[in-house]
Amino acid sequence: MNQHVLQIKNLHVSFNKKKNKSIAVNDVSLQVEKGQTVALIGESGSGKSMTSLSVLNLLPVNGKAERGSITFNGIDLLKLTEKQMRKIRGNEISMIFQDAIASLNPGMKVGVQITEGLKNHNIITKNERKSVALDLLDKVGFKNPEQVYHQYPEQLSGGMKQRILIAMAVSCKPKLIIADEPTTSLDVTIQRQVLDLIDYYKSDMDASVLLITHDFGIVAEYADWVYVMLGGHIVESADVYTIFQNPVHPYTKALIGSIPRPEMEQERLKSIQDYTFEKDYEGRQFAPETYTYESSSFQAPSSLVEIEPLYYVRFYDEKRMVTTIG
Amino acid sequence: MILKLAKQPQLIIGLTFISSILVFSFFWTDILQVEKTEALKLMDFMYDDEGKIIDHIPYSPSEVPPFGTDLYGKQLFYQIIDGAKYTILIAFVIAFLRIVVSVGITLINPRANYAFLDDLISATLTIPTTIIAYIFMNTLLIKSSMDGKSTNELIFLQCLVLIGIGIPPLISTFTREIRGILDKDYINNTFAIGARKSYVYYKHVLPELSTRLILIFAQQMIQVLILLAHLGVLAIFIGGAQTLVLGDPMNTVLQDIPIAGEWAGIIGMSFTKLQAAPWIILIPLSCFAVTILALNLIIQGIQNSVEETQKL
Ligand SMILES: Nc1ncnc2c1ncn2[C@@H]1O[C@H](COP(=O)(O)OP(=O)(O)O)[C@@H](O)[C@H]1O
Ligand SMILES: [Mg+2]
Repeated sequence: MNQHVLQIKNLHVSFNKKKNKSIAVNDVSLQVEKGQTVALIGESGSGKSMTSLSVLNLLPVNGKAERGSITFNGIDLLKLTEKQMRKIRGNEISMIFQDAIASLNPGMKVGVQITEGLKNHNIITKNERKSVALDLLDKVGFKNPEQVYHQYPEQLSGGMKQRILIAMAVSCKPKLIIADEPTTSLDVTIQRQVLDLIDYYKSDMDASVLLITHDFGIVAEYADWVYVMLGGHIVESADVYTIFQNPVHPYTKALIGSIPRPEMEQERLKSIQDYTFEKDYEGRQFAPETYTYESSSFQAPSSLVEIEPLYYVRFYDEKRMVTTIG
Repeated sequence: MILKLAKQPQLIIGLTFISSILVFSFFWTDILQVEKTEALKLMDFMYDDEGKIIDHIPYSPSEVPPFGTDLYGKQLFYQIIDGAKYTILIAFVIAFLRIVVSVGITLINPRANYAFLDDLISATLTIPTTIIAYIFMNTLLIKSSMDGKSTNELIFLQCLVLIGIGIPPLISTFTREIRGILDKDYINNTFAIGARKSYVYYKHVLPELSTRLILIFAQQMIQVLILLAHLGVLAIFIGGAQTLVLGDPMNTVLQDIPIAGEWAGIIGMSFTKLQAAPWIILIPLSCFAVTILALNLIIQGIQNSVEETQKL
C-alpha cells in the first residue's frame, strides 16, 4: 500500500471579480505518492497554478479554495491556521516558481536570499548563514559559490536564477516540491539542467515532486503519473506509460501530438485547436467538447470515469446530442 | 545608494544648509560670544549721548541690524537664530511621526479597503489644510485655557492635531505603494518559503519603500512648515502664548509672548502690526521660505539620483 504524501480531493477554487464569480479550479482531485514525480499538464489558464497555490494557501487575495480537502501526510492543509501553515511552507512543502527573474528580490544579495527559509524556520543562526549558503550554492551547481554569494540577482543569467530558486526551495529539506513550470522561461539547453537538479534532489532526499508544465516532452522524461487539466477540470489521468501508449481523451491526444519530434515535422505543426474530437466512447461523449470555457456545453455536468484500473477519463454525465463544432 | 546621493549637488547644498542652521541655532551663544539673556532682553528706548530719547521700539533693521527688533524690543536676529532649532525640529518630529503612524496603520492590513478614507480625502480637498488645522487648534487653545492645561500638555495635544490631519492622505498613499510591492512575485516566493509577515515587511517591503519614504518625509516637512507659517499668521502657534504685563504700574499693558521660540510664534505675535513693522513678519516668513527651498533641493537631489539609477 503506497502512502500518499499529498492528496487533493474535490478542490474548487473561485475568484470574486466585482460581484460575478469565476471558477478557476473545478472539482480537482489528485494524489502524489512518496518518491513520485506527478505531472499536472494543461494549457495556459487551465488552473494548474491555482491548484498548486491552494496547497500552500497562497492564492491571490481575491481567490478562495472553497470546497474539498488538501491532505499532506495526513494533515488537512485547508483547516490550518496561518501560523501552522507557515511552518509547512518551505519546510515541508516548497515551491519553485516559473518566473525566476521576478521571483528574486533585485535589491537583496543572493546569499541572503537563499537562506531566508532557514532563517525563518529558525534552522540556522546568523553565524551559520554563510557556510550554509555556500553549501547550497555548491549543491545547485555553482562553481564559484563565494562570488555568487555576494552578487545581486541581476548579475546572474536566467538559468542561474532558476538554480537559486531551487536552492531556496530545497534549503529546508522539504518532502514535497511543487515546481510550477520551472523551465518555461529558460532556453531549451538549460531546461534539462534545471529539471535534472530537481529530480536529483527528489531521489537524494526521497521526496516527491508535483511538476506543473504544458510540455508533454518533459512529462515523458521526468514524471511517473500524469494529470491532464483543461478549463479547471482534470480530463484524464493515468501512469505515464499508459497515457503515452494509449491516450484516450482527444485533448490529451492533441497535447501529445504537439510534442516536437524531428522525424515528424508535420505532427509538430498541429495545434490543439485543429483537433477534431472523437465523439463517442462506449456511448458517451468526452467532456468537454469545446475550448470555450464559457459555453454551456463546456459547463455541462461531467465526471471522471475509471476506464481501466487507475485510468480516468472525463465524460459528460448524460448522453448528449452531438453538437457539431466549427 | 549613499554614494550616488553624495553626487547630487542640490542634495548636498540643501543638507548643508539645514544642518548649518541647526548647528548655529544650538550653539549661537558660543559662536557669537554673546550672553543669551542679554541678547534676547527687551530693548527699551534709544538715547543719544546726552541721554535724550531719540527713538523707541520697535526698531527697524536699519536701526538695529541685521533684522531689527520685534514689537517689544527683542532682537529679531537672535530670536530667529534661537527659534530655528525649534521650528525645524517640530517640523521634523511631526513629519516623522506622521509617516511612522501611517506606515504602521497601513501595514496592519495592507489589503484593507479604506474607501471611506478616499471619500474623506476628496471631500476635504477643497478646504485648505490650514483652515482645518485652525479649527482644531483654536478649539484646543480655548479648551486648554479653560481647563488650565500645562504648556507641555498643550504642546503635546497641538502636535497630535498636526500629526493627525496629515495621516489620512498618507495612509491612502502608502496603501497604494505597499500593495504594489506585495503584488510582486518575489514577495510571494518569500512567503512560499515560510517567511513571517513581519520578516517580509521588514526585509523586503520597507527597503523597497525606503527612497519613497525619504522623499515623502521631506515633502511632509515642507507641508508642516507651510502649515506652521500659515497658522502663525492666524496667531496660532505651538505652545501658545504667555501673558506678560508691560508698561508702568499706572498704565499696564497686557501682552502675549510666545512660549516656544519658534518662527510661527514671532509671526503670530506681530501680524496685526504688519503695516507699522513689516519686517517682523517678512523676516520669519522668508526664513520659512528659505528652509522650504533647502528641503526642495534635497527632494530634487534624491529624485535625480533615483532617475539616474533607473536609467542604468
Ligand atoms: N488573480 C486572479 N484573479 C482572477 N482570476 C484569476 C486570477 N488568477 C488566475 N485567475 C483565473 O484562474 C484561471 C486559472 O489560472 P492559472 O491557475 O494561473 O492557470 P495556469 O497556471 O494553468 O496557466 C485563469 O483562467 C484565470 O482566469
Ligand atoms: Mg501557471
